[in-house]
Amino acid sequence: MSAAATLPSGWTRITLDEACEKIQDGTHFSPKTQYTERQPGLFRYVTAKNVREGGIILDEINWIDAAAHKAIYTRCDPRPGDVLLIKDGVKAGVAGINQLNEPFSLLSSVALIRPRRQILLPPFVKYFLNAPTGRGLLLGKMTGTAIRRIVLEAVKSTPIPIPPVAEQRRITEKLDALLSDLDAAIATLNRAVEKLKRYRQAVLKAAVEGNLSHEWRETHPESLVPAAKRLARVLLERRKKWEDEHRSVPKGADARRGLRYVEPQCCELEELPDLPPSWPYANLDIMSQPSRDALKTGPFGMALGKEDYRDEGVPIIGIENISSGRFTPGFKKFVTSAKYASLVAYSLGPGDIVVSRSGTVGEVCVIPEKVTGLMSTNLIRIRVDTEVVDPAFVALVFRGSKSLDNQLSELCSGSTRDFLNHPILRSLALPLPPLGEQGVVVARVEELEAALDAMEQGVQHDLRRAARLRQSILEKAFRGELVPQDPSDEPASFLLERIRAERAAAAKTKPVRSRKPRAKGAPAAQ
Amino acid sequence: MIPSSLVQRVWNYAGVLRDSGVSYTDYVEQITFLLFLKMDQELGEIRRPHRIPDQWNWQSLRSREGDDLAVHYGHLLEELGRVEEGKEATLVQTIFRKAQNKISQPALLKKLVTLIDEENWSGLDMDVKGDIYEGLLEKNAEDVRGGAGQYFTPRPLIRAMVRAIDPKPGRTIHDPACGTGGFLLVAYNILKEQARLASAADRRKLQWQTFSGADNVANVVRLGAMNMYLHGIGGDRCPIAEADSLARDPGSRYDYVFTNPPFGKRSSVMVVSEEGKVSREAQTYERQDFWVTTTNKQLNFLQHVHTILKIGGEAAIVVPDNVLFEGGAGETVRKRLLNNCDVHTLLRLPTGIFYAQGVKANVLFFEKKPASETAWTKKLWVYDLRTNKDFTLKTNPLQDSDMEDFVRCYNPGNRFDRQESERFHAFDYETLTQRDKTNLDLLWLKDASLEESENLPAPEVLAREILEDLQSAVALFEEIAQRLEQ
Repeated sequence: MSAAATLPSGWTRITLDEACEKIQDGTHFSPKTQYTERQPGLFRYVTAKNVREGGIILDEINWIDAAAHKAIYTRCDPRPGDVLLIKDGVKAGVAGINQLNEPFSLLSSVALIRPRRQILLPPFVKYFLNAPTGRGLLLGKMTGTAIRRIVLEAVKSTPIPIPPVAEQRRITEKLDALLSDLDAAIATLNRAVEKLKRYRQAVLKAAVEGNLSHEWRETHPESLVPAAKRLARVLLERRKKWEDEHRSVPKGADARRGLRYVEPQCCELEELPDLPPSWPYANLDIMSQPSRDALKTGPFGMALGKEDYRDEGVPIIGIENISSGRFTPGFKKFVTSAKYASLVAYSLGPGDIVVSRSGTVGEVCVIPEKVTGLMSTNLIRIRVDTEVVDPAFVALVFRGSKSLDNQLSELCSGSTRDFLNHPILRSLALPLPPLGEQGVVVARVEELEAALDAMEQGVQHDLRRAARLRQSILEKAFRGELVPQDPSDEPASFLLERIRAERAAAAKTKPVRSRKPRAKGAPAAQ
Repeated sequence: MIPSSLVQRVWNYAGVLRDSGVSYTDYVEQITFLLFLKMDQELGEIRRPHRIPDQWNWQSLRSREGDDLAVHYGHLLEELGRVEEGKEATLVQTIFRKAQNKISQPALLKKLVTLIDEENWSGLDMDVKGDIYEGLLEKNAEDVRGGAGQYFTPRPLIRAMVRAIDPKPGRTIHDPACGTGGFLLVAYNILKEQARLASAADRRKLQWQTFSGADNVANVVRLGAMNMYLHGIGGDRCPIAEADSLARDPGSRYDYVFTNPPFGKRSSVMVVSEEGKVSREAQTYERQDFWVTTTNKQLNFLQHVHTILKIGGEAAIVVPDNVLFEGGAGETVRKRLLNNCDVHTLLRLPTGIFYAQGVKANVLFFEKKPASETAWTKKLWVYDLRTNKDFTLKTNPLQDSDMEDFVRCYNPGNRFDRQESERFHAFDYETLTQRDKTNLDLLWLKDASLEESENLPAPEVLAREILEDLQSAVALFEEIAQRLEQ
């Protein structure tokens, strides 16, 4: 606000120093002995951490003895209704009104501002100092690079616009009402944001426990095969596929190469959430083809090092590409096509599932269409049998199942960081609905999440608008646009002049020192 | 015929009329007129005193058809509702005040007349009649389009409020925003039950001299008057008057006040300037007895209730959250109330129990005291029926059993002998006045939908809560916008 900005009629502008009886800061010598508990004879010792816009917060206040208090209080004596301003530290610029009815001591991090109440009211000063207009003026003059500090002189020389006293009251009353409502609305919106997060979690939980696909089960009664039976069928199919593949290999070769069908272990079922009767628990072994490459950790050590990185070529896909269960594009490191060819066993393509194995363990996503690249070392690739399970569903389970989360944290503990490895992955229990149902669940979650994303955006937008509204209300207040001016109010400048004149007259009158009559010829007191 | 199927029959007919453009509210109104006429006729037939002159009685209606019927009905409504200049409205005049025929097709009117004619209503038990009418009122409230829901306070809540205050017989009970008379009715039923009424004189006193109420919407007063009449309350003098309670101090003082003032925006008046520009001006009530002048309707009702209580009188008033936290005038009213009265109980109500969407409301209980230097409130007991409570109007409505714990904790027998519990905490006066703006928006339980926990509420519950939060935020923003424009 420029000094030249026009003031509304009836308003004037002077420095805080002129407008106040007293502007002083607390003691610069913190008492050596401070108590944390109240005892008789002690006084409160208020510092910056106790002051807020709403007043003084009484928890975590220290106490000092009467002597120490008196020494401080004689110089700086906050009274009820005075304005307290934080002048040092992170919260510098925050002003509140002293609501305590007892005497207490202040530290120098807090300044005491006592306006002359005939022309300036404390609540008006408080709002001004907290508003962008006032705070900007205060903070603009801050010195000190390490610790933020407003010096007393800066406070004193801050100009403040002053409406007629009656108008000040109207302004602060309207601000009290408007801002308390606005703050309540903002608090409600913040609560809604929190609840949206929980809602997201609740949706995912419902998805992986079969509670989003009731209708589908009702309309597809043929899918209601009991879980154990379905699992047995899946295992049978899996074995058959392996046998079909290895039929051509002569038996003797089998034995020699140690190629044998390994039946996957079934999961331990204690303490897992209940699933619908047609959903068995399964593990990643059961869900993928029997192959050494079903689970594959990214290349490490000598295979892929810094010297192989390029600025273009085939991208390296890493943890940074996984965010909230979705693939996020953006590649920083690449390798040459030749290098990629040599490491093609570690390639990633559409439909592959990747899971992070260090740092934040268990972050999962599915590689989307048209994306290929090289796996980084901190990922594990999972290739599932898409006739058994939809990769998107697997990713969903990793995101949404609290019990999977628990399993992971229990099982992964490396020496310094959490590490996920193949045996751990294999031992995780995941729900396995019929394939058709998986598709429905995935689609439903996508639908709901899209709506949630939109809602969250909307609420964040509203929060930003609310913050701007707050600013604009305060700015309007100090431009005189919040409440109408009343022409019958005595203009502030007149009041100021009167007070100045009275003060000058009082100063010129010498105090009567003795009852002796004036000596003849001596000048009369003026 | 059993009452509920009678309600259903009458209500089914509403559907037919709705298709011809008669809203549920209009329908209940017309039923009110016809029912009153029929019942009065029945009284006459058994040679009991009746009120309607022969020219406009039921017989004069049922003997007519077609256009003749429609025209006569229109005149009848006009005549019966006419009040003489300067005189107080009688029961009949209150019921027929500003009455109009809303059924444009004479054939439908005839059908309705026949429907009412077929029953002997007086033969029905007083309670049954009353229940039928209450049933109609409730169905009316459910009809969102009609907007009548804002006049309907859930009965379990009313019963709990009355049980808590536990009014003694022989005293006066008033509701300055009585709507359809729910509070008065419940208080009447509870007092009637109690075996304290020795004599017929006591019973008369209960029926005729105890209850009074006011509302400023003529149509609602009509329904309330009928409701009282069907329950035998008030006798010849209609206990409910059409008046704007906030306009002035009525002068009368009451022992008990129960009320649920209408929610919604600040009172405002549309003003058309000379240039034809339309704007809204806030309607303020300048009253000597008020502590502060404000456009906030609920704060004004709070001040009004304080005025009309006798010293030692007790009040239970439903107020929205913003009465508890709003600064400015709100702070002044709260401070004065805590000083002048013993504000002893605050019930935080759950969402999803009122017909108005997203409403966050509370019940404030206080006792008016004589003038004094020191504040009368020593302790405010707060009952949290809101956190982690999930109600809906259709699938999980509020029931009497949901209010039992509150009434027990309140301890109507002796409200100075209370115990703290999980949902019931006491806050002393010093704590309250230390709070910024004497804010009474007190809650301490952890909201499960905000916690990271294994036991998340079901998604639908969370979704509903989020919606309610957003609605109440929007309502607050609208209020702020309105006030900025003034």
